[in-house]
Amino acid sequence: MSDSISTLKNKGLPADALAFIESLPADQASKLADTVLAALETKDARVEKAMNNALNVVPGPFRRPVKKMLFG
Amino acid sequence: MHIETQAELLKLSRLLETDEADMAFLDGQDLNTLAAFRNSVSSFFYEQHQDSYQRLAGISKLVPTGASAKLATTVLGSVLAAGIASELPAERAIKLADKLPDDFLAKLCIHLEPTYSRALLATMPDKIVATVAKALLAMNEHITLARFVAVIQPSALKAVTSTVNDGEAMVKIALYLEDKSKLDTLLGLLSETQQRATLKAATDHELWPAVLSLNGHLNTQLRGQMGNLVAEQGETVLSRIIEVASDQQLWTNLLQAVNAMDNTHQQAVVNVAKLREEHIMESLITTVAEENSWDELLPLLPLLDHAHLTPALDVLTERQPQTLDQALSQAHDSNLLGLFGHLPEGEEQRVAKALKNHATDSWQAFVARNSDAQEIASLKAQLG
Repeated sequence: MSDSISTLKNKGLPADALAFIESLPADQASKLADTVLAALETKDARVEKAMNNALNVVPGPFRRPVKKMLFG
Repeated sequence: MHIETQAELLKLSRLLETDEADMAFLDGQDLNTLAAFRNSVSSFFYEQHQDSYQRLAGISKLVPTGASAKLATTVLGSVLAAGIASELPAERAIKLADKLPDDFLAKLCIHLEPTYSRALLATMPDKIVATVAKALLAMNEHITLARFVAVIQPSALKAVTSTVNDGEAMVKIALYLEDKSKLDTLLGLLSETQQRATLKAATDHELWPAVLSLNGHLNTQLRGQMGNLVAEQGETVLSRIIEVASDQQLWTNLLQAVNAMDNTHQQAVVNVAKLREEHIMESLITTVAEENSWDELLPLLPLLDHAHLTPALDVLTERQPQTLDQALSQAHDSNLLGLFGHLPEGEEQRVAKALKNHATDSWQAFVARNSDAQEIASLKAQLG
């Protein structure tokens, strides 16, 4: 199993999506898993950036507790 | 690559933020499986941040909608706003949408996760939907629009379609529809002018593969209506459509369209000179045999003039005589009788020879089922 497939499994990619990836020939499975993981990281970064932008309007001293409250 | 596979891989590459060509290795996978994979991954991406969206939605509910709208455009941005909107009660989300600028709302819609935003889109008032659709259309966001079409209220769909005059956009929206059973509703709402615009776009933008493929999802009435309009496009366009059917193995779709046309238009289409070309006729019979669409082809063969029937019989009796055997076993007898009863006198001999050499058993069974049929009396006599 490629690293990307393991990572996606650990992150909770649904079983049907994992099954589809794993049904492909090894090189294709690895390529698709890499692409899904890269997209996940891009989207995470985009949401993170948007959240930080939102937090920037919160006065400095309250930023950390607000972040914790909102985003865990 | 089949046009519907191409459309599915475009949607997947868009979700995965990669180049369409990077997904080409998935060509050949089952279309429904690919779509299920894409939907599953899309929900997975959304669920990674769903907690945060829910908390932000909770806060948003405490702030007046005007202030929420201001925050959304100036601070949150369209990505977060899309997530939050999906977690808001529909009533609150609609009030908020009403206060957002059109272009921001359109961008927000691009980022909506289909499964989680379905309920919200289904309850959006017609006016907002139509405004957003107009903005999305200007942005060439056909994939997002197709998602809209699939879930919005019929009255909203009517409002949207009445403003779309871009034939290319209409074909692409139809192509990207997740649930093709909605095509009848969509096409039924278009005026004849709009329907003609889709056909003009098919010629101008090389969209005939899409139009032919989509035709297979239409009900018979609409298929006939569109088919008649297609038949009026003239010899050059019809020749191009025949080439597309040959290149993309879309013959069955084309045959279905021709069968649904009125008789005058059928005669015009089946006797286009392009169809006489050897490789075209061979491709037609090969696809019909592969897809077992004899009952689509056979009723049209008696409409062929002699110059067109000869190359068809060349393939059936000489180059691919085994297909005659298949046709006898799988097609409806009435369609076979229609063909045999219309064979020109000079052609009966070679058909009889091919039947004798390549389809003895199936011919005997066919004769036994149709012993009284006058259409095969002459062939029977030739075969002894």
